[in-house]
Amino acid sequence: MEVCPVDCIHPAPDENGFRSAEMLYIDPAVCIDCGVCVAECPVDAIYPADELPESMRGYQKINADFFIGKPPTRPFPLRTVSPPGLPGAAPLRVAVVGSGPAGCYAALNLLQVGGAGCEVDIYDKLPTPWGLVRSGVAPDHPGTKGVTRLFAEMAGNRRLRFLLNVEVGLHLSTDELASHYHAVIYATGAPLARSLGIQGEDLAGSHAATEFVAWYNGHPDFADRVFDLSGTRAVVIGNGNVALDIARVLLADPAALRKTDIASHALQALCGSSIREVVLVGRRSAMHAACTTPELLALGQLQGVAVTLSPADLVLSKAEQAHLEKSHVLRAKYEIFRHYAVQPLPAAQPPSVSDKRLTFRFLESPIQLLGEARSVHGVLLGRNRVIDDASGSTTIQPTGAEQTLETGFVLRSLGYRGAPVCNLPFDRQRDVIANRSGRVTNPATGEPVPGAYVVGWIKRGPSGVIGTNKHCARETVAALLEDARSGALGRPAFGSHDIDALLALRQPEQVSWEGWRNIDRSEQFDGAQSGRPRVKLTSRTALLKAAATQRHEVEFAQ
Amino acid sequence: VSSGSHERVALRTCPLCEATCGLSIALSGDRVLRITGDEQDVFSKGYLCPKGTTLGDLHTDPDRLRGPVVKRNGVFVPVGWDEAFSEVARLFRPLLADPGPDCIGVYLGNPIGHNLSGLIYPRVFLKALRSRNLYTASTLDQRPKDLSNALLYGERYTLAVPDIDRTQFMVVLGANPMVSNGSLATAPGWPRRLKALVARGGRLVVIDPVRTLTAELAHQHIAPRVGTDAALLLAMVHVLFDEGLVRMGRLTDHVHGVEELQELAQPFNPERLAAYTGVACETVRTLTRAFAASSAACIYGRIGTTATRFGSISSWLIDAINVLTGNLDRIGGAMFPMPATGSANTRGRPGQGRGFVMGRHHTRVRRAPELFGELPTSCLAEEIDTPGSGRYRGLLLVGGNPVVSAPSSARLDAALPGLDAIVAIDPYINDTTRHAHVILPPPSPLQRSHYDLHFTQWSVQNVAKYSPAPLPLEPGQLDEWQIMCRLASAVDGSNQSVGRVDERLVESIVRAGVQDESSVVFGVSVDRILEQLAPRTGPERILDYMLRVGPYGDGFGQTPSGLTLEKLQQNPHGIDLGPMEPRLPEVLRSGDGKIHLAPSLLMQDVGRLRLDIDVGPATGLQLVGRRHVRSNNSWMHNIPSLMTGKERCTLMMHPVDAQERDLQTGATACVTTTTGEIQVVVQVSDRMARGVVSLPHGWLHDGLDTRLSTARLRPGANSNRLADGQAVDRPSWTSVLNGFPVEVHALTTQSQKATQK
Repeated sequence: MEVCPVDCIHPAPDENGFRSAEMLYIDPAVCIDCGVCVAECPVDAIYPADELPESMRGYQKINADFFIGKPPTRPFPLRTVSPPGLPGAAPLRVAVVGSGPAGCYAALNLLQVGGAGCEVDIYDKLPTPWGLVRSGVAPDHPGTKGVTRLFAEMAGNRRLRFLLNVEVGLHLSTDELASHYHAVIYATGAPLARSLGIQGEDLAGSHAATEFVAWYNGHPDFADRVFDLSGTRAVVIGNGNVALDIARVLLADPAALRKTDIASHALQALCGSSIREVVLVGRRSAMHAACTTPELLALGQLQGVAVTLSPADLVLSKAEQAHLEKSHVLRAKYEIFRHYAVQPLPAAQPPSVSDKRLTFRFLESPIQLLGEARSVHGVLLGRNRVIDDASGSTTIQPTGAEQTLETGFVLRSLGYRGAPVCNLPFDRQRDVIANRSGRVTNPATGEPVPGAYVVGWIKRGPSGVIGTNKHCARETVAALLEDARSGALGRPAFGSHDIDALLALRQPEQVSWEGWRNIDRSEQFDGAQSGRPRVKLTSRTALLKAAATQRHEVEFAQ
Repeated sequence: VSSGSHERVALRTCPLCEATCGLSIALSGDRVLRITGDEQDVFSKGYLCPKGTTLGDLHTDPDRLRGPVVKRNGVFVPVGWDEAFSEVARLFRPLLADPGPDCIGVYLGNPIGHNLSGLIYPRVFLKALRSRNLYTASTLDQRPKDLSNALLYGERYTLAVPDIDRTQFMVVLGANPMVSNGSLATAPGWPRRLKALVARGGRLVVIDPVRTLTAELAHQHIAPRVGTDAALLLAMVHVLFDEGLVRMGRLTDHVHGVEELQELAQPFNPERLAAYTGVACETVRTLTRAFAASSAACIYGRIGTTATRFGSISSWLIDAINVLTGNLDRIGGAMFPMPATGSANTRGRPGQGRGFVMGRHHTRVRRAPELFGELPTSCLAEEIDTPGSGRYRGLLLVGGNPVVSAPSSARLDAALPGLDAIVAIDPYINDTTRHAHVILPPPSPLQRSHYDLHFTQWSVQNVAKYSPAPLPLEPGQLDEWQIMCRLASAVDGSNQSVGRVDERLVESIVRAGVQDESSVVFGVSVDRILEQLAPRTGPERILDYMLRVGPYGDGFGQTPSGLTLEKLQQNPHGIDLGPMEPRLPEVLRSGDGKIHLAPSLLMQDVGRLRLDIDVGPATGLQLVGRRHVRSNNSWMHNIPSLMTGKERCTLMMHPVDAQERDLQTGATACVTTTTGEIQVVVQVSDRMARGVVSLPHGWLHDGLDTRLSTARLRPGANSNRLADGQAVDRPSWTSVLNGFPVEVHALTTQSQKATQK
């Protein structure tokens, strides 16, 4: 956005809607086709209109529509190239805990603006970096994973180290970290799943969506999970992007999945899957579906999968109608649902073996998971209705009508949830580490905890896209550098040699960047043998073995 | 949000590159709100690149000097203009008296080519200085083309440009106009025009060792070994003769030297050259046949063919192929523009000139010959740091930063403090001007009027457009032409007023006109013409004169409907003077009125090429340059909106070359030559062929005492620290900046240390 010479990419960070934006829009009336942003986009999401792939044609209109009714162009905003946040070679040693997008963007920003004396160590408890980009992003979204190229590029910087397979809380305490670095940035994300809080949630066959995602993406802690895919219908509670990812993976043609980097154990299980229908259940109406427009639109491209919903689910209340007219994003999403609703009505029974179905159901809440012999065999759903209040907002009320949806496989996709990190102050209401603008604060006194910072989901809760972290990281790093300048960061008692010595003692199986490169090359090599982008190693033993085996890219370049 | 009634729009042609795009500048008071492409501009039709949007940032850049500065005790101190010019006189006049004018060097940078004052007024201070030591940026860049133009057509700027809007077959050699906006062929919106060529069914072939954006657009991309384009072109000439494809048509009567060229090309069959060029013989033959078969084809080459070891041969053979296939001066081929303000090929006797001579004087140290009155910039450092009689003592810099842009740049940087007097006309304290004793800053582009005197000579469509200055000068500011006039009178000691210097200049220009038998004002009295030019002064007066005596002019009343400056002022989006028309033979200014297809200077140089072919292709890595749409040679790097985003001063290299050196994107590499060493961030890319690495030029802004606060934050690395000023294209003495051997190795990184541990 900041490379655009004519300020045609919106919403900008200083504009309304930036934090909630599901994508950024390019104003075709202002864009000069210079292509500068194309090379900058970490996820290869920008195309000239005349080069849009067939499957993305709809985006030309989506972009243009965003600017309808918007005020004319504003004056060019002032751009700045950040000066080093610290003078000259002032030493600043920072640990970043977590190597997902938030941690990596923070490290990147620190290296860019932290001055010549700034050194960054990135820790991760896994032998592999990139957090949810590796273990969360759906395997059929390789473009989104392209952001790791940006992060890998910073690995060449001599002021940065990756210390993988080191777990804070296990190998090192937060106090030990604090005594070895001027500052520590926690980017631990939101590893837990929200629960439904209803009866039957713990029955066999009911799982947290996050675990299923971690499983099919080959996260070593979830590789040995077993999911029963022998039924014909899966029910997903929730309709966010994760729910859509799961639905796509469950309904995908195994031949298509074989071209992705999905974990081999998941691929094998999905090959034997009998699931023909995935039902996505949402308590509110269609216009409030939690997924983003691009993901919803992409469902229409699935081969052999009918996307359906009942036209009755599209009826809007007066207040909703008014709301819809005001919001471009809601309108775009609603239009796509309308398009899907034109498809033939869902039959009562799951579809035949020859085709598959993805069904959205709205204004329904799960009341109970029904089970026998400790296994799920159905979901009891209660119908809701929309109540408009005088102020023009809406609430949901149960109508009392109930219906049972039979299934042996329920995935609860209500979002991720942050987890406390050792003794750092935790905000139980929001499930984040208590902080102000990235500075960890003591909730009782409001005072900052010296040298402790947060970034990403553990700072602001689990929302936003990968790119949101860039802005988030900038805020945290700015706070950190301000504290460095003002003298609020003490000098660490120990230096880099001390932490190396300590780690050698505590975690001899630490994996360096070069170790990860060996894993990476090994996975890509195995992938090249079978026509896949990579074959993920999914056990710690295999990962550590690969990390220790020197490999050169020349092997598969020739 | 629009600021309502106070908003106004000013139109101005962008002065940053050769493309001459029309800008529409929204202003509120003296504040630029935004800059967009002028949709009604007769030439650019709304096209714009990122650089043009930043003139407002350039105008408000706090680092840009607003008034003159003089160095006192090693520190620049702001002074008034009178004091600044007194200092210039104090520094230069004693040197001019003893040892004399030739102890002063003058360097003219590229920006003055885009500047109305800069194209007219240097002659006043050059005359005052009386030094023969003129250096220009063009000697680092286009000189081989200038030389071949002069040898073929009799005059350096008689340049045949590709008729890009009407051609059906275009071969682009060593150029990346999708990114650079084009050069030596002025066409706003090259990307649009190339896409239009493809859309109308035309064929685009790109010959470049790198898979550039232009190559990606092309139907065919041929990737020869670096630096072998001259041999490749010679092979194409060979095929034209060998397969009887020569069809010169109406050119036949105007061309000399066809047999000599045929004889020269005879041994260079593509079969023999394939190992050297890396291009299969059948590829060369097929391309040449298809090119010759087209009824409207042109071959065009740029920096990848000029700033190379055999730049003059390549420049010459590009035109030779256009001539032999009948495409020179043909619609859709390579044609000669007809600029509204005239040029050397519109003045004097049509169809015949005096030809040209070179080597009327030479540099002291290396005996490099003068060419068009200019000396090779690669010789500048040695003329300063080599002891002995005739060593330079003073330097006048005009809009140039040779410490960044000239080869062996570290040597020049070290040499400059040895000078007694350095005066610069420049808006910035950059890596070169930091050595100056006096800096005289011109106003910003938004405070200057504009007419593209130079680039209308190379424009693919004949157009004329004048833009008044969008913003006024601030109190106490001098216009650039006023600075140049005052510089002249300070140097010659006459202390004449700006007005008097300006009058003497216009009188001399008009006098030359009324004495030219071919001019429409031949025989008219000077005073009568000056009366008609009143009350204009400065560059506008001279521009009005040039337009009125030019090919479309009103001839001071002889053709009342003809062009005048007033008429241009009434047409702020420009006047379209129509597509290029065939101009042979009147365009020629060679001594005998012929095109010389086999100039002996270049024919002899083929011996040097033959030796190189016999030695065989170079091994190891070869460095070539790279363009970026947000860079403008060495400057505009202080504009924040052009400096955001990823690092772009990177060494691009092929994945396997990178792996062999244990390098990956983001790693820092050490690049060395016999001349120097730099450290630069690596960018691995399969755009590169194996054995080729690329680096953009114009970087390294790290001088501690520069005033470039944004550029210094992202200094980059300077390719000219690697380029050897001693390596030149023999006939033109142009430095080899594209295609020289480098060694690349990884700096030891911490991660590698960790592995070793």
